[in-house]
Amino acid sequence: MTDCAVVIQNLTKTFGKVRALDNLSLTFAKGKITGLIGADGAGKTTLLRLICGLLVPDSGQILTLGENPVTDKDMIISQIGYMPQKFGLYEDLSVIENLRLYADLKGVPYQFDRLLKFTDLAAFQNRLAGQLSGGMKQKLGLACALLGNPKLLILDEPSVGVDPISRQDLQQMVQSLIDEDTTVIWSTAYMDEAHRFHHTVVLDKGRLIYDGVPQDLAENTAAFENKIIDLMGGYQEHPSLIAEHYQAHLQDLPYTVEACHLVKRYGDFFAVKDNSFQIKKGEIFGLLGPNGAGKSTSFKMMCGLSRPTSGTAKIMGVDICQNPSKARAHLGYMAQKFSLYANMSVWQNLSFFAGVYGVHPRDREARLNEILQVFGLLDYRDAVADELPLGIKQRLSMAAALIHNPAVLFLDEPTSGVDVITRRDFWTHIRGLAKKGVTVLITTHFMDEAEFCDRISLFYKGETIALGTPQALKDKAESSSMEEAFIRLIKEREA
Amino acid sequence: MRVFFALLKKEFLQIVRDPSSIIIAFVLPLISIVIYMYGINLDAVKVKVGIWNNDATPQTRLLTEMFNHNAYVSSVVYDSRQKLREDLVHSEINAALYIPADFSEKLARGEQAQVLAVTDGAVANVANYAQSYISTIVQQWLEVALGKNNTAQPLVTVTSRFWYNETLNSHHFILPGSVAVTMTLIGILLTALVVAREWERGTMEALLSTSMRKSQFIAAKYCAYFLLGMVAMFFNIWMCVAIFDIPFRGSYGVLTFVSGLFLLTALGIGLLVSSVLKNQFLASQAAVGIGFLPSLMLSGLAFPVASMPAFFQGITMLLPARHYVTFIVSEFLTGTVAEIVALNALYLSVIALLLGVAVKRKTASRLE
Amino acid sequence: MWVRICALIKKEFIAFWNDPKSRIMIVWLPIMLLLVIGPAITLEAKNIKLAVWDRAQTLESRELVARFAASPRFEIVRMAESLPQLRHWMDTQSVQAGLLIDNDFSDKIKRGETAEVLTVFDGRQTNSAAIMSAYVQQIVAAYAQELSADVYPRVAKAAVDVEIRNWYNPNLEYKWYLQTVLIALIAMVMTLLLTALSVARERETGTFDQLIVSPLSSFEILVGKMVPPLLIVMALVVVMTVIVIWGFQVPFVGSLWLFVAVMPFALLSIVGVGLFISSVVRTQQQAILGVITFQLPAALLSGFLSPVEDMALPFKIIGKCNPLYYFINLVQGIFLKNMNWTEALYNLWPMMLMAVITLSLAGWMFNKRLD
Repeated sequence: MTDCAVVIQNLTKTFGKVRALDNLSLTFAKGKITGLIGADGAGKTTLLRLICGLLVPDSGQILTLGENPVTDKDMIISQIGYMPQKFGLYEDLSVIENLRLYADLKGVPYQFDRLLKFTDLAAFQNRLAGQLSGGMKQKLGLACALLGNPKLLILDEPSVGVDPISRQDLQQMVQSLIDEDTTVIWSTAYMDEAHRFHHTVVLDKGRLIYDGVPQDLAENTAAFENKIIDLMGGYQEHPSLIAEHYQAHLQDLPYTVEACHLVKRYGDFFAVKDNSFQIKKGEIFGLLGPNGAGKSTSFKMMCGLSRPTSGTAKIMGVDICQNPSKARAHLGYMAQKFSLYANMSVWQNLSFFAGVYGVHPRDREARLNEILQVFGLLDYRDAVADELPLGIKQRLSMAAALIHNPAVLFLDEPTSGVDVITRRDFWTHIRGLAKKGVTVLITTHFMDEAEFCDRISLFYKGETIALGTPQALKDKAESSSMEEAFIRLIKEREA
Repeated sequence: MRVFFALLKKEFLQIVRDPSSIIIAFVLPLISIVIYMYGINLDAVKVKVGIWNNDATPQTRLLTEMFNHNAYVSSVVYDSRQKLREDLVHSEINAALYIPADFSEKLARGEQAQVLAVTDGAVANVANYAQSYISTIVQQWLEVALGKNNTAQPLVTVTSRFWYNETLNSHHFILPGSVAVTMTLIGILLTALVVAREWERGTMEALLSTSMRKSQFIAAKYCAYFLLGMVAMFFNIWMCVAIFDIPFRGSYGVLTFVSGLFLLTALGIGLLVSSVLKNQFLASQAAVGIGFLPSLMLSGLAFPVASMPAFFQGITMLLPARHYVTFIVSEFLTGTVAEIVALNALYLSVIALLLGVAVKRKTASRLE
Repeated sequence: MWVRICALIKKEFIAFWNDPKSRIMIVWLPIMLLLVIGPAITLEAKNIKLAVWDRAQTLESRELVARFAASPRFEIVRMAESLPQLRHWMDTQSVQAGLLIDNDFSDKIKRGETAEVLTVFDGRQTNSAAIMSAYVQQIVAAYAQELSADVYPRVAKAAVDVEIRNWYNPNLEYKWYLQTVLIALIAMVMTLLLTALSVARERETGTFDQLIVSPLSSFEILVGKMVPPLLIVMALVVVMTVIVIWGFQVPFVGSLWLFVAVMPFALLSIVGVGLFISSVVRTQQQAILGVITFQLPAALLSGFLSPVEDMALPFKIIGKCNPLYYFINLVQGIFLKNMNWTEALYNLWPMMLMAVITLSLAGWMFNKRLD
């Protein structure tokens, strides 16, 4: 057992009523990169925190680098590098100040050259961490975790919500900066990442469902994903109940969603330069691009969260700036990380959205009951939103967005953090709805989801550099996968 | 030590880069002092008296005039009894004086004449002063109008002297005392949100995963905000002494020492609230609730503690502001009085210590 | 439109009520404040610790001292034997006042001359020193009257008897005034806390975006955010009024209907301030800062510590623009003076004006801040 960095035996951890980890036993081999897969709520973060000694197990044993991480924390803490989910960066401190702080906290010398080089942050040393883009923040977070050449590197979803290029950079960074005998535990939601690691551990509902070499399970990412789904209980393709219950609108406009020369300017900086696109009824339109490229800004202008400097955004032919109430009545919105009212119940949340979108009190109870049934939320009717598993939160968010039968759906990274089965299910519903005539505008970082879109707009530095079907983009970049296409097209532009 | 200094440096950088800390530390005291100095006046209260004179003789007219000669009284003669009453009800005047028709007659006969003074008791302390002024002015008039020999002289009179503050200038008391209220607010506000923010932003988790110890974390927070608070405190005191000419008869050394103790208590309250609630929304409400009204009302600044019922005097013992107000007013106006310094310093130290222990206990060294 | 607004109002109530910690804050905090501060505050001076240095030691001087001993306001704690001793006691605050009687006290009186006694007070306690002095005056004057009348009758000379009547508050219970003020102050603090933080919090958690994307207009959001705190603080005011009347025995001579009718409009002005702060700031920390920056001057310049009329012009103007000033007038007026409708309106219209201004500004800022 001495070549195991972490040994776990019969580990159980419960939070209130929820059993986060259920009698888990596994080991992490030294010197290997192990991917940890599972949905939010599967127990990944809890496991990582337990390994670091940040939580105390209810029962069972953990040995991290040979010691008990809770009682003997001092002995091993200097050999562990931990990157938490929110990166742990101080927004008010600059890049170099953050690095120095963590170097001091870990008692290691100020040797940042290599790190700065690999993170490409050398030029931004004095920029405040709060002003960095998402990808840069992640690299900085990783750099801080790598300080002191830890023997055990624990990364909690370091590549969440980031474009494929940054993800690639992060992987390269880790590969180059670790030693041969460094053990890496890398928790991720991306199947393709997990597939590339030496080893994979899959958790579902606190239980271990796979522990082995990913290549053994499947040859490529798609098959890998399917196998994981099978291990989790399998997924039956079925027609979408939600789509069936959707009542289509009898509007006949040439375009349901239009962006006409949208510009967003902050002083001299153009976040969005001159964006135009038209989406037809029943189309699934994807906005892709690296962080800071302008896709979120465009998205926000389209749904009325941000006022364009010039240009118009039209929903169902209505200008959203001139006639906001009317335009918004046609719009259903799913926010990133599902901003719902955390301490209200499912019923209370839905009742609120029903009211706000004009469902009359008379019809409300009937409609809500219908929604609960159609979205499979009956069991959770009175559960507090904050305590729901993430997959259910997503469904609640979708229910709130569809409660008024909108003609247009805006989805902002709707699948971040959910497990693979929920993601499949989600897309079944989305495709069903699109067939029934719902127009869908979606932003995402999952390249496999990009394949489901009818058309894609690829953003870079405020402009659309490619617009067309996924196949068209792949052809243009001469790639076989969306991910490759993305990377190629962007890199071309950069040069 | 390296860890401690690194944390301290981080705190300073955060303070400097966050304008709200600067506003709390300097702008708030500035606003408060200006208000206390120029806005409020707790000196002898001015009173407006309405007079209805039913006996129009030169003597009574002299009486009504004399009301105007007093610096604290202004008077208006009313023609209509009705209007006089209305104005009293509307609080346009604080008291009404009714001079009856037979007033001068009675006095000429060497008898006792009567006047009726009605005061607005709803604003009780003003009524007290009104009573006092009216009686005094009437007596003064009597002597002037009829001559000292013809009027009854009181057998006993009393002269009042106010030690430490001869002119009973309320600013000499309010301004130093207000430092207590302002510093309580600042101390609590600065720290109340600080720990909650680390939890909400996720940096707490990252810190806990390093070899940082709980005590270093707490010490860094205390030190950084202590320094900021002391600077704010000196700024406050400097304004009192240099700009508003409040006399300072004590020792700056002693002042610094006890002020430091007081600041520790305020910071302790803020840190405790922040560590227990871990949530900015609730922490800020608690901070305002505990910091604002109690320190304004129960510290002895606005209302004298000695006049409070015994039980409540006991409660004020828990309030650091109370001990500090007693100390600082004394230090300014009397100079260093060993007993007062020692006693209040002791109370403050005990409170600071208890809070420090509570903060240490409630600061997590793990995520739960 | 109403359907939307009602949904928002219902949601706000649920949000306040569902979290137990929030409930404690809303209900217990103000009650605690009222119960702890209410009975304690007074501008009177009581239990005044007095030291006496009687160098005369005659019948008359001891009589005078006895008057002080008999007074419920004073407590004779020490008999001084020298000035330095008295000074030391005063320095260390063992006594708050000193009565000094000269050796020729009785001689002067017997000769029909005016005998003067000296009282010294701790000038550090500025807020009570002047009042203590007034009490002393009253006791001495009463004693002097007695002497004149009974003991040493003299030629009848002209004198004036000032009969004093104190309206509304015959026993000059300071508490009555201060406790009604306290209701107003606590109501202000709670209103600001509930309104100023609400939008900032939604912004920080991300739910505010949901509101913007929905068909709710800024006007509707404003109304929705306005009504729940208003109703909650109204309820609070009613509870506090009950406590003050039954617990603290403060008489309520005014019209209950008027009180209940006027309160929501009065509170609206403070709700307006809170929502305005909320619309301008981005984070909760800034919101709290805004609350304190408003609250401190508002409380200090509201007139309860020192009358607004006597303030220097710039502060007088601020005082007259301060909703709390009118609020205190209303509460105190209805409680203690049986204020009628006209008088109430007289105080109400400036508050309504402020409410309209602040709420409009808040609405406008909501719109502007879409970026």
